[in-house]
Amino acid sequence: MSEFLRSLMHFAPSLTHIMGLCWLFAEGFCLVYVRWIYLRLYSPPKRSNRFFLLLSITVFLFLVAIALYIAFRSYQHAGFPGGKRAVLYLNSTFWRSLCVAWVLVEGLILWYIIRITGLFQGEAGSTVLSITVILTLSGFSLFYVYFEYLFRLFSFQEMLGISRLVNLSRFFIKVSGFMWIFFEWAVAIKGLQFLRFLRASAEERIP
Amino acid sequence: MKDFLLSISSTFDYHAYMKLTKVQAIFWSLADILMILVFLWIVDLLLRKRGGKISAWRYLLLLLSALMTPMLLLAGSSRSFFLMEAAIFAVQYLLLIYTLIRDGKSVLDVLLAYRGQDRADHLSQNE
Repeated sequence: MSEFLRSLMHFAPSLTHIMGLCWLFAEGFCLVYVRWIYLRLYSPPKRSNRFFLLLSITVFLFLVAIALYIAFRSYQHAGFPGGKRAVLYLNSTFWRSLCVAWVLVEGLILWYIIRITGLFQGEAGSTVLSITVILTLSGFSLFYVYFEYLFRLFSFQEMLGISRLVNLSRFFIKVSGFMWIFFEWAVAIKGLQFLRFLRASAEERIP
Repeated sequence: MKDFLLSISSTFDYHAYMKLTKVQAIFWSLADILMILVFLWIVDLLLRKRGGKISAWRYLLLLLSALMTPMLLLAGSSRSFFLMEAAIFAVQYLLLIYTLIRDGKSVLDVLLAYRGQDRADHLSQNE
């Protein structure tokens, strides 16, 4: 039994991966909620949020499975083709993909918040902001794809040493961090505007 | 872009990364605190329309996370920094999720009533 439990520990992801997945779960939860609010306010109740919910759960479980796989591979990295360099590549690529997922989820939350507030304050003002968010997310996604292409090139053609690869990966993580913090501030400011609007109109408008 | 990234790989070392990480974490936590505070105010405003309100302990938890935030600057190693960051954001995210689960439906009902009033006014203006 203890042997079995010990073997299970080989699949335990690192604390960073566990926390990263927890944060993603929390943000994904908020995204599903704001989308549900938006659909209920915008369209008749028949339009379902179920497909989006199932898709979100599937993507999340897929990421959990990758974290378990990386934990297992990291444990036995001595026998892993490519050794330490390949394990570093797997770990850092996974962490970057989590960062990208946070940016996309935060960006989509902002997009839905803009749409929701637009339903109350008139559609015209929200269109430019909505397009700006979508363009920013598209630009960031393109940068990510290009970065991953270069990172793979630098990793496996051994153009850079491991410490320089780590520096490069950290730089991308900081760029992602800037993006999701920017989106969170935008959500907070948009929320503040909505709160002021509600305070001004709630007395007469909400029965 | 390739040359830029190559130069970054030799200049963006651990110390630069940790300095930037600490600054980012402060801005991240402040954004979260403001976002959750505004969200709690909105939920409170809407719940009051139905005779309810948000209990004070939720604001106290948020205050606790705000008081913990400057401690991020004092963290020595990257591990202690990460653990502190994890604790602060766990409080904030749990508070957000709890509020969504507990009051999400009530908030939607009040917003639907507001939208219904909007639509009724719009129809009467068109007639």
